[in-house]
Amino acid sequence: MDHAKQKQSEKQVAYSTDSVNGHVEERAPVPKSPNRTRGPQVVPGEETRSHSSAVMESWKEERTRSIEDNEMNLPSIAAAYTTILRGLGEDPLRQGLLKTPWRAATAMQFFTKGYQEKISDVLNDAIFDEDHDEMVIVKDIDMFSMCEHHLVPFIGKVHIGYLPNKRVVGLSKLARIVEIYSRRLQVQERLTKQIAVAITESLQPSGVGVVIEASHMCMVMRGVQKMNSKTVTSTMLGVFREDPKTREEFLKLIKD
Amino acid sequence: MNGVCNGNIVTEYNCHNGFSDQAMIESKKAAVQNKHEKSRKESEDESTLPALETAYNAILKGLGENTDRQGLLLTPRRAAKAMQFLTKGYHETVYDVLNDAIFDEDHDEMVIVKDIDMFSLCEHHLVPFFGKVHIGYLPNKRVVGLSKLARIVEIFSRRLQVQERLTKQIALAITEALNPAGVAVVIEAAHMCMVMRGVQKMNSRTITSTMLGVFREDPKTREEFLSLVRS
Repeated sequence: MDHAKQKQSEKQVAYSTDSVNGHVEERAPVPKSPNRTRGPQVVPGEETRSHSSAVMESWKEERTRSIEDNEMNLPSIAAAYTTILRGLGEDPLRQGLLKTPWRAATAMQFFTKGYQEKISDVLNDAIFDEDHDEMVIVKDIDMFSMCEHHLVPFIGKVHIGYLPNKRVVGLSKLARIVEIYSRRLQVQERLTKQIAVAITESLQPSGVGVVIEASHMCMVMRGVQKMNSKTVTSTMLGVFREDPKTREEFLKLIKD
Repeated sequence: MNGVCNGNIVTEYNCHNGFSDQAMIESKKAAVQNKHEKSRKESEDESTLPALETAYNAILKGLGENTDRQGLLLTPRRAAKAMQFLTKGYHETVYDVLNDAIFDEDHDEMVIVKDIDMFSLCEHHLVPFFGKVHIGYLPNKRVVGLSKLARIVEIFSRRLQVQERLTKQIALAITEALNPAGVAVVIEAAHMCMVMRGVQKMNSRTITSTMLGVFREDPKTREEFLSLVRS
């Protein structure tokens, strides 16, 4: 029990001061221990005491971008793309490239539309009380994200499993959570964690497991150029972390 | 600029004696480099890097990101270099890549190199498209080193491209360099601009082909090529 608590507080410290994906996310995970009580457990630690009030609200964080922002910024992004085309030695005035800056800018805004969306918008209505305590898995969710280091896509599949604790969520909402966090400038490790934490905070389940298997174009198209390499990351919270048999069941069920 | 092949170039390259005549080689080289395409020198890359970095910084800010956070600090530089790598085909000419590897061989059966992985950038959205290229040709007394076919694919795919044009450029380059009896190129690719955005169809593939010479005129030859590529 002590060990579990210590792990929890370590995890909270690691999260609490991150400035990720363009805005400060003050959140802490609330993994359940076997002797759980209702509601999120906040383990008071020195660094996290100031953030404890933010825990319940953290997954309802504000959007950092709006549709109006998109419209306002489109010209400057398009101008930047025109500079890039010139810098690469291309002729921005040839027929195929004439509208490319605008198309590329709109496409890039689409690839980062996760900044415009909040979890609470997506989830609020679709949490249901259900007396179900067996594992629920949604697997093979196609995921497309942008590597924040090279601005090149990475694509793959997300597998999500959770053990409900009297509350289940609409299944497509899991895929929508994936969309919100993947349509951003991301690092695969952080993406996995954000999805798991969002589900944990909104549902308070007994445990959550998220596995992402992706192919990174920055590794395939350039750099080391390994065509078939895949990166696999996972986040296990709650009973998925503590009970090896639950974890094993989840991992076996998501394998083909 | 994207190496548009017009009739002038075909006549320049029509060399029946192979590359044995030095003077002819030099004049061909000059012709190719002047008329074929402007090759972007590597030193130019270094000098344009700052402008590209500034542009990427502007993009990140325009997207609402915080450019001072740790993950994004060096991203403009990395993204600029990545983009230069992904368009390095502008540097390279077919002549440089092919010159030494054409051999006289009395072989008149089909030669196919298939499943060549190809990665390119859609010129309309600046988003990758990737797939496989299958090349076949019927030699006419001259064969080319097999990896050179893949290198030709690299030269033309590492550019801002349209799949149709890419297919044609590969076919034309092989025709001009080798003068074979026929050339066939088939490209099957997935376009991220269709998969990641827009209409969002995950499993759609675009197939384009260019058939020249006997592949175009003789249906049986074409059929043989297509069935060998399918299997």
